[in-house]
Amino acid sequence: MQTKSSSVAAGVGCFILLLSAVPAWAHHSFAAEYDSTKPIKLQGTVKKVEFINPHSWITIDVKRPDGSMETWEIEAGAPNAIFRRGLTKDAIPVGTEIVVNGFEAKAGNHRANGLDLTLPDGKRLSLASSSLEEKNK
Amino acid sequence: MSHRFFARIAALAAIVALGILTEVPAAGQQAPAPAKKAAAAKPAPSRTPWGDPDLQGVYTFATTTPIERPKALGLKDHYTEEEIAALQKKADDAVQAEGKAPRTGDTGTYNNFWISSDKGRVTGRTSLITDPEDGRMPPFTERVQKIRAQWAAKDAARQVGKPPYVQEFFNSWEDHPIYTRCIARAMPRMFQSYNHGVQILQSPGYVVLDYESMHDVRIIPLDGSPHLDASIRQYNGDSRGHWEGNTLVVDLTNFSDNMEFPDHVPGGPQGNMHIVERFTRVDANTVNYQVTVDDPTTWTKPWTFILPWRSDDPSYQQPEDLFEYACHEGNFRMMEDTVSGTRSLKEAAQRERANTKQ
Amino acid sequence: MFCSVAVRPAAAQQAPTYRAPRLAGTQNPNLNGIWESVNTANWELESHSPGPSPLPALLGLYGAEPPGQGVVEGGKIPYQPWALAKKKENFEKRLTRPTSLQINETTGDPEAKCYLPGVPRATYMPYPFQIIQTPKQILMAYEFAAARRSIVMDHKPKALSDTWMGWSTGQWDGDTLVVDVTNQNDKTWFDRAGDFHSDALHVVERYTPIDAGHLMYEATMEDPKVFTRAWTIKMPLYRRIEQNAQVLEYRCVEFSEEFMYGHFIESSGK
Repeated sequence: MQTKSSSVAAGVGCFILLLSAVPAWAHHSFAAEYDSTKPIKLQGTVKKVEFINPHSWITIDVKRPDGSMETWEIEAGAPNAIFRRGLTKDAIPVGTEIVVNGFEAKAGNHRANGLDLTLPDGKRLSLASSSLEEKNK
Repeated sequence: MSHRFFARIAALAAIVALGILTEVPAAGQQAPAPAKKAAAAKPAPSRTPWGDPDLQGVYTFATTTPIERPKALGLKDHYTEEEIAALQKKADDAVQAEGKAPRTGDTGTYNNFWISSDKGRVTGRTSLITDPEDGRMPPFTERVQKIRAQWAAKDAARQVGKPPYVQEFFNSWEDHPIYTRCIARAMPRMFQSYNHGVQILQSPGYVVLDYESMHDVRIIPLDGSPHLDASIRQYNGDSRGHWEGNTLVVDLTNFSDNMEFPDHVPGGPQGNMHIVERFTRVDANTVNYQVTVDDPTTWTKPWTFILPWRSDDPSYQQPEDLFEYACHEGNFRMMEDTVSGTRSLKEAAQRERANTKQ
Repeated sequence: MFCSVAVRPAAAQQAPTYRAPRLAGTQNPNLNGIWESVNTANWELESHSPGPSPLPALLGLYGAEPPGQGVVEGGKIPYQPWALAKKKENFEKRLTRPTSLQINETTGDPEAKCYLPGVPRATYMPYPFQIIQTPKQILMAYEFAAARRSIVMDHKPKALSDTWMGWSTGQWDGDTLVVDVTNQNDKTWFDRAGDFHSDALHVVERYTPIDAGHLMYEATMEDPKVFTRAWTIKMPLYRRIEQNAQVLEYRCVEFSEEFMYGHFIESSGK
């Protein structure tokens, strides 16, 4: 017998499940490009920010433990999605030191899907990226 | 920013939006066109200076309502107030979760804010689809089921490995959906989790829909002209409109056979799709978008959905809030990572096989 | 065309003798309609002799360049010396396949890749475009690559970042629509000849109705990184008067993919 609350739960549960069944209309899947078994944390200096569709890109120069420099490109969400989260041109000018959490690209080419970045003042901003499809596979 | 904060801003924006909207009617009221008598319950919508009902505004069609009703809900087409409050709370909680530290391996916690608060308000309905009465799309025809099975097999053949490490091979750009190649968005436009802004503009003899996504402009002539010749196919079809009272009715045909709906499967030939849209302003902040899709070669019967377009989203108030969607221009990395990436993987696998043979 | 002197605004220096019908509800000329340029500006803005196709053995006359009279006032685009050399290099490399991101971003005519053309090139590509004019806003919808841009008339939008079609603000100078375009990125060309600009480009356009079937179009370019001074192009825009005139979908992405990505699937030889 379905009580009212359990039908709500079923409705909400199904709603969330259906919500998760986003891939049908979503942009390309996370798994096509990125590896969820390869989380990465990068600390670097902002070299370039491209507020573009379908994904914005943040290029950073990273100093590796052995002292060498590497350039990484971090994929973030659409401009409107990240503007709304405070990630504007003024928030990360060239030269800003940031810490990025993300997942490496399968191509192994120093690209990563960004989950969030932390600004010098400690503020953490979501990068509104495509990881949700990955979670719901 | 909490969802409640946005709700307050939305309420304020609604009041402001109402103020903006009332600027236009002033001109309309001065126009020589005969004014309609206001209905007893609702005032007649304002009119453009040339006498057409005014649907103009900057809207989003984000919604928390799913396209199809969960099967468990059967014929239940509306949630109760209590259920709506629970759904709203769920969305609010997801927003709050964004602020917390990520759980290792859980890539999903990061996107709830993006998805939930961008999805706008709950409509109160259990599905966008209103017909058939189970709120779900009617079955595909046998012909399309076969095509979909073939495509599913083709897609499966490109997947190697098991979750969480599934490698997807892209042997060419054509293995990507039309969506990902930045060619077109599905028609009719329904679900969208981001870049879901659209502006309605009107000029004499036209209604124009300027979509943020794919920077698509649909120009709808109202002059009663016939559809394009059948040999011209378009991804957004060909639109012809007319007014029925205060409702704009738009007829769409001439769809391209390459259209993929609803996912990476050409319904083939999608060119048979016939869509009828009905746009009606229901209040200062809402235009109801009602759509009937009819294609007997693809679905066993027509189906209809209603999706409110809302102009009270604080992020979508001005025309420039629709950010340029230069999709193809920004897509090089994706193609490089997937298509060139596939070739590298295959070559590496080949080398390995060659090495193990020695 | 009879003009009512009493209502003509006094501001115009060179008052047009034609007075276009007004857009209902406004005092502004009605520029609504489908328009198209008729010239070879998209090949080359300056005057040019005819030339062969990039692949004559394969294409014959297809893709050969016709002769054309220039649309640049004064004849030549006033490049700084380094920039003139860069233009020539652009032309030589106009059909370079983008085998890397770096090459894609810096080399080759974006038109060949079905990339958005920017302003003013969108105006004189050889395809129609539609002006949708409302009292507070003008939307221009171009056939090529479904390019579009919104011209806000009642406020100045803040450019959140550089874009392909830029950020446009408009106002009326008598019966002339004046559009100020800023914040275009540096990736578009003016034509197939390699004429280019930097991200400092500032464009001011003028659209003036001169009779029922024509607008006179002018665009002035300022870019202190590339040119020695501002320069202007001028050309008529012709109204498409066919009963069934319509801006069609020219979605060219799928026709550009082989060129852009084909090298990803050709054997790398490794």
